[in-house]
Amino acid sequence: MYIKNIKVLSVVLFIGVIFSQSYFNRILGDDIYPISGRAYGMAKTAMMSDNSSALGLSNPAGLLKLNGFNIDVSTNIMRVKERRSIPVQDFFGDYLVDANYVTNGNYFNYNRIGVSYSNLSILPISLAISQGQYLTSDYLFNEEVRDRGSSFYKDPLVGYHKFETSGTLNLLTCSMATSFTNLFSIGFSQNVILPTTFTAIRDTVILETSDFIASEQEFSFNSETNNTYFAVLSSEIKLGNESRLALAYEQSATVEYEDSLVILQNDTFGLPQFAVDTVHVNNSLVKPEKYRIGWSFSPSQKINTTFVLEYEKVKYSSVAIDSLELIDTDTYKIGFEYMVNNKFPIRAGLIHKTSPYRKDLTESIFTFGFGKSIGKISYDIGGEYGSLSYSYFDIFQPENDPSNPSGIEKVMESHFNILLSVKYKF
Amino acid sequence: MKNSFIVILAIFFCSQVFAEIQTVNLNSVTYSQISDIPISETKKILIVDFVEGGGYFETIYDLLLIPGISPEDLHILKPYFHIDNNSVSSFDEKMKKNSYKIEQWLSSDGSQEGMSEVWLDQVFEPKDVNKMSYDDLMNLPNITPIDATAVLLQKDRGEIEGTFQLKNSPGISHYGYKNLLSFVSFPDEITSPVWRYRISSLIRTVPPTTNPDAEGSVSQVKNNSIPELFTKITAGYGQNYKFGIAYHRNMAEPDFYYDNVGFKFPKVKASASIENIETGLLNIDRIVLGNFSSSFGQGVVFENSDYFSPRRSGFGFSKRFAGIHQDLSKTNQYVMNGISAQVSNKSFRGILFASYAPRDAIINDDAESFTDLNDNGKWDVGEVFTDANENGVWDNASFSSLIVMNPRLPWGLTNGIAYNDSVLSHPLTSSVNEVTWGGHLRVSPIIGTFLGMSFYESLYDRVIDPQIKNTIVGGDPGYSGDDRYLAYLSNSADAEINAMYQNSGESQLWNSAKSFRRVIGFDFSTVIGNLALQGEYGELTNEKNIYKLGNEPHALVLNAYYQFNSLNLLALYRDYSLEFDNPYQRSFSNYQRYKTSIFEDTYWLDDPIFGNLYTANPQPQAERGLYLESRYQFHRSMAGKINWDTWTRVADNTRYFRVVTTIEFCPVFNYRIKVRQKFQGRGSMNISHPSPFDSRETRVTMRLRLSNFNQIKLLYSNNFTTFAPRPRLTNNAETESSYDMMVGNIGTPEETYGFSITHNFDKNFKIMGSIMYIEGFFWNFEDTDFRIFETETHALHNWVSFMARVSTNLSMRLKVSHTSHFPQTKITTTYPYNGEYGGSSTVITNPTVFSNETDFRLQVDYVY
Repeated sequence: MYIKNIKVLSVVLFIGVIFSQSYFNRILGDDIYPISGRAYGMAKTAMMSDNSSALGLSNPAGLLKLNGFNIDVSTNIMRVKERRSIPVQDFFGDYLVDANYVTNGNYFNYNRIGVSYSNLSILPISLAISQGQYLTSDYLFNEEVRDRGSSFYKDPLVGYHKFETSGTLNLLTCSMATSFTNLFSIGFSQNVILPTTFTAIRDTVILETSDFIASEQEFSFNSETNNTYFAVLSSEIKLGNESRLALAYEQSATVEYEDSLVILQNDTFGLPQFAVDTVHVNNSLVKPEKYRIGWSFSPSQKINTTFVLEYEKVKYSSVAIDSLELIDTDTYKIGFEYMVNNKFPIRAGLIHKTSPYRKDLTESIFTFGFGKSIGKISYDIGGEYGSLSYSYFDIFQPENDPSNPSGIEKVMESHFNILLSVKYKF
Repeated sequence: MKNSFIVILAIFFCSQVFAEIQTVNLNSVTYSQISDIPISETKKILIVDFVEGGGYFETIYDLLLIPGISPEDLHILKPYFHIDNNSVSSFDEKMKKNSYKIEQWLSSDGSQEGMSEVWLDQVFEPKDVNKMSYDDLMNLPNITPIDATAVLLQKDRGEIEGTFQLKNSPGISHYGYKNLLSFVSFPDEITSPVWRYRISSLIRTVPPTTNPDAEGSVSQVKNNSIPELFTKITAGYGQNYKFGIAYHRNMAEPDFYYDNVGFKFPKVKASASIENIETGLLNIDRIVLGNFSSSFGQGVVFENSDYFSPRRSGFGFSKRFAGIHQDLSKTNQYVMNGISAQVSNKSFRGILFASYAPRDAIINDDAESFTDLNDNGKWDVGEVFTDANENGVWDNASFSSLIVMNPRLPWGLTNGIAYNDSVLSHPLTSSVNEVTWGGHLRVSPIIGTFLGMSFYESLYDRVIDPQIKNTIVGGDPGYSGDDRYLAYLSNSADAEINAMYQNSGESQLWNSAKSFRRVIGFDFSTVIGNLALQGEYGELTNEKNIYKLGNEPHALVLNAYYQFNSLNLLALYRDYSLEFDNPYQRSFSNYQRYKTSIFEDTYWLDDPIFGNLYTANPQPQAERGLYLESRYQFHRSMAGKINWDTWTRVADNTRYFRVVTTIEFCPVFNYRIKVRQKFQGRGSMNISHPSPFDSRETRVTMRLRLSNFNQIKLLYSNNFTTFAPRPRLTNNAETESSYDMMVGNIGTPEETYGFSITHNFDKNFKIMGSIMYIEGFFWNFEDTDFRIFETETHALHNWVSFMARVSTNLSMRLKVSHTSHFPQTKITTTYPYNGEYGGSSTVITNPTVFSNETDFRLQVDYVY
């Protein structure tokens, strides 16, 4: 019944559904650019809170705050946990509970390095170069398939389902900022998305024939991407001694690649889905235009505190990916930093962002962090936790699945990331 | 002798040296003033930069807050500085002095239902105690009628010039005096009025509960995509002019916008008031335009709030507001929208109000047939109707009942999700228009004694006709509640539904009126020494002669409060008729109306949203009983408290009891132990009846107070509820399985233990956190949220909260909690969803079930 609205291509070998944060990274990519630990802990308010060369991407005008010659490194560890479950009913036919059948937990690691230089006493110009991993399509699904047990043989292993996409885009950012008065500064950066390899693998290993295993379908495909460029322009205004306002505009960019995965729109769920074409298709990963506005408030008082608000609008509606219907997203970020004894910063924040696929799918992410400066070195650690739940098709649906006739399942996904950044000021 | 001479010489020498040093005010230091101090230039610049950057010093030791200044530097610098804090404004001082209370009121505004607004106003603009009326005093937290009367008596003796006179008010309690101090001023402290602004915004995904009590349950509507949102902006000039707007959206609720304004603007509450105008004969206490709240006496006749509060006695923390006020609360059903006025003098108070507002209601399917323009057989939003009778007037359907909804969803719910395809014949939201007018007159023959009369009339533009079977419990004939209504053993309180108010009639005040509801009541309050007596009687009248009393559905509350410094005792008696169906009644009760009725069992109802008739109902149930409450401070290190309540549920004549005893023991200041034991029960065990129960709840809290207001709290809770045997749960132990087992009790053991930590980094920043291991049912106050947990297995619940006062004016509170339920192992056999059920060949055995939830609460407040 739910499947009737799905647009089916004649070349489709299997149908899966793609969406959102990890399993669906192949469509829009997951933004993993490692910013500074300070900004990460404050709701990832990179625009207003970053104190590293990563400002070149979020708000190049803010680079003027980095005085002297600095080198900074950021590295993060992302743990993505995904649990899939099927609904089951009781004897009376009423929905009872969602029964879990597979759990995948994967770790990913991304890094960035950058340098910045300015000597404001000579010239009001700051320069920065940064390189780091930017967008990723990394996802790994492994399911161990078991059949019904018998009196002497409990739940025998009958095979495996595996789906994997990988490929991370690197970004090289060259940025500069200048100011004409003490109250106003502007910044510009040119960004290059560097070539990388995109991989997609689908595999079904059948050890024994079973109603619970999907039919054997395999493919593996690698594709190279090319250099892609986009620019970022921003300005920052000082509002009195205590607050700053910044505006930023980020150009769109399109990364072309070949793939066996065809992206479709699923009208039943209002979400995208994948199909596989025997002939390779030309796909594109589009990074849309972004508009950002941020406000930072650091009151003049005994204890240093900072309160930051940021809003970002991403123009997904202008992105054309086959039949996919995308909507603009809104991201709200609120973060603060409190300097205990003016020496030890503690940070926390909250991010609320909408989905490019459906209006009623939003995610709230909690962030936290702290830091320590020792001489010329400053360490900052930030972390985030978020979770998301949505209904979907079984991505490896057996033809006559007796355990889940509708093929609809519930996906619970959570991620916990830790980021460490180190900055050395010469 | 020689040594003494040396010492004297040294002292003389030192005094001469220090006499030479001209100390500098550290809070206004300039570089030139400290150029000669023997520390490095860098450190001098650090100090001057700190001051010029807005930093200020409360003590000389605050120098250590400047990175780079060491204790050795402080030792050198101390003789050169003094501290002068004259630059700190009185506003800042108030913020600091009352920061703890302000933080509590700002963050708990939702449950206080607008009270915190008044308290905050009064903290920032304290009123001259000599000009405060009885109501002004009674509206303050923890002030009893005896305390309020004591202040009035003191005023009668002569002007209260300061704390000395206030403290010696005849009969005032120690805590009453202490509580008053934050809110009052004295004649020589009067300051000129200034503008004050407050902006407060709350966003959260914390699961809502049906009521703030252990009897509540978690709402089925949990939607992280549409969090609850509450934003309030208020402005005031002195004590005379106040303005405010508020926007509230429940979790999972769509935004509501004004129609026909040309652009999208959300529906907000708005209110403007003129207050405290002295005119000689009668003072204008308040004139409110827009949204207002109103409350009289014991809440028997009128109090407009959407929220049920169990055991609301009007004392202690269950305060009840007297009179009219601006309404910027979360209430969205029983909103008053219009004009209200309150005038008073020493011996008289008069209140009059009138309101016109739409209400959410369940509409019956008895309307004139209509032509469906869309031909889909449904009444679509925005559809234009044609008059089938061709009489030029559309004949409206009647309505069964008003209904409070959280969230407000026009077409109800399915599996906890809003949807637009429903069995309902009409949307629920804003489906009835209501005009309500009324008032209260009160005279005070002597200080502390009041006699009052209240009245209100609500007019509706539809007939009130509770068609329970046709509209609410009807539905699928094979699965309908019709046969269960008024007949099912476990829904013994259906008689309360059967007694729902019914009316049709016209009014000269409003041409559109098709039905009305009128309630009249009398109240009194008096203080005799340290005894306060209060009471209110109300009657729901259908007769034309509304003054003919005694033969209509009624409600009565009487209470007596005896107050000593170390002991207080409250006795409260209530008696409500079954037919006293007054939607504005908020008087004392243990349970909401329609508890133990078919409205609790949503699967028997035509639409699950009708379950709100019970779960979101703010009206008390009809009950008759005596409540006793007492607190006694045995010793400075030990206090005991008891709540003793026995009552009869009128609907089914069932007896209930609830006894809660609490012992607080503080052997030394740092250690506090609190033991709370509750016994509660309904009826007596009966193998033929499933409803009687007997529950015991023990809760032990140990609190270790550390320095700087830090604390560690340990908690242990153990509950056990025993029900009468439930035959359907098991088969007879004998051979013939057709005989159900009729002996033996069943129960639910529940246990929770955990700890919480509060750490204040300084006065402006603290972190709280907690870890709880929960088995079964558990309720708790965590930070400022009331939470209820029901876990099938065991659960681990953690939360962390940050409270940061970013500046004097701006504060932020962020709380995140996570609950992880242990894997479910109780389910042994299930069936594929949407597949064949009940004996299907496909059986899923021992499914693995995990569950975890995350929610957050973010509040930002700005006060200027």
